[in-house]
Amino acid sequence: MNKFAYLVAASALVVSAFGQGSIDIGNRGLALVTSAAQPNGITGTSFVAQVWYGASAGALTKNFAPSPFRVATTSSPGTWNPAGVGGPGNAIQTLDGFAAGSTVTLQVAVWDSAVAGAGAASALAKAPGTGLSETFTYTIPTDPLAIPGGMGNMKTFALAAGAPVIPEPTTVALGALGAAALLLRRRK
Amino acid sequence: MNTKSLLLAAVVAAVGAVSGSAQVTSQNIVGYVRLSLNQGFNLIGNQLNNGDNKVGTVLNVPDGTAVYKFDGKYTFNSFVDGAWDAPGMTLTPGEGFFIKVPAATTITLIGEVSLNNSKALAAGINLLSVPVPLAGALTDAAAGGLTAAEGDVVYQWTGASFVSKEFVDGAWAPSAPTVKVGEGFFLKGAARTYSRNFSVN
Repeated sequence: MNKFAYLVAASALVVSAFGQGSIDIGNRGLALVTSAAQPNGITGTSFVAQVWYGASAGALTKNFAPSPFRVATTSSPGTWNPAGVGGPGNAIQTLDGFAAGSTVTLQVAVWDSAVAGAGAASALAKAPGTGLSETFTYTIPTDPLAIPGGMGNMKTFALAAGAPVIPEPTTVALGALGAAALLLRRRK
Repeated sequence: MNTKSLLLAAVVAAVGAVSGSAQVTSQNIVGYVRLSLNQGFNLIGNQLNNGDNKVGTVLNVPDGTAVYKFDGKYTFNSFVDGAWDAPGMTLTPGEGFFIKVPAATTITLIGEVSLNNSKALAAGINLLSVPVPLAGALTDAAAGGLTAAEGDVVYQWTGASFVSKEFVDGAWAPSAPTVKVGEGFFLKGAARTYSRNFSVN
């Protein structure tokens, strides 16, 4: 077999073996997440960051498990830890449905998991106390031996001002309404 | 890449020469490392000194094999029609490299254990192997012997992609990297020197 044939065969092997693109969803050494209280970068493992992705800004339908931020004493404030408790386990993840060479759009949602009712939905709605990055893109390398990137185009962003909205305790409110109705009925 | 057997034979040859009242002793450890390679890409390293360490001396591989070294960018070398495109390429102990084979195969690396190893690491990404044929934790003095620095990231090849392990706040996450005999790995970190000496004793 001549060299050209080997190259063609090698290219086919690469395409078939690396159908799904990889991404590094960590942001250490890159843009940070800040807040008014922690302008150098938020810390605390109750804060979590969830990376959403899709083909365009209007189609961010897929995500990875939320990664916790680091402890208060960390030397890397403002960064989340994909290997932390509850996270996806490793910074390098597979982008479902995206092949090498394709471009994926991403957005990062941040919230404090210690706040009752806080979650991805409130972060995506830009609720006070949560954070949402601008959308950004990542082009998956065609070279299968390239170490994946991912968050390089993300810009530093801050949590929205204001205290996190704590949902009303619906059950307590309903109970109080019921008690009031009972009292009214007795008086009549 | 599976290591089926490693350093199955080691011969310690001690040669003593007496000159007057002074005695000079040299010790050599020779052996071999056998590596099972999967079809496609494998990330390995040569851990034995074999003469000039030229690619044709170190590797005995089937036609269609390719080797990729990394020095900020990849350098490609292919073995076609019984010859390497770049026969001057060297694969010295401590270097890691990708090897792509057209079908699963087993290769045997032979040579002498390099006792004194010191490699300058560039700031950023380096493709390495432990320079001696030892398995275990990369930062264990008795195995990899690498001194971790804050911010280090180790990338290991899974056969199709990478997994990463980072050293932040004085600890590895998600776990300390371990290496097998003959395994290559990427290290991203600050510029420094990686020294891994080996004593017969």
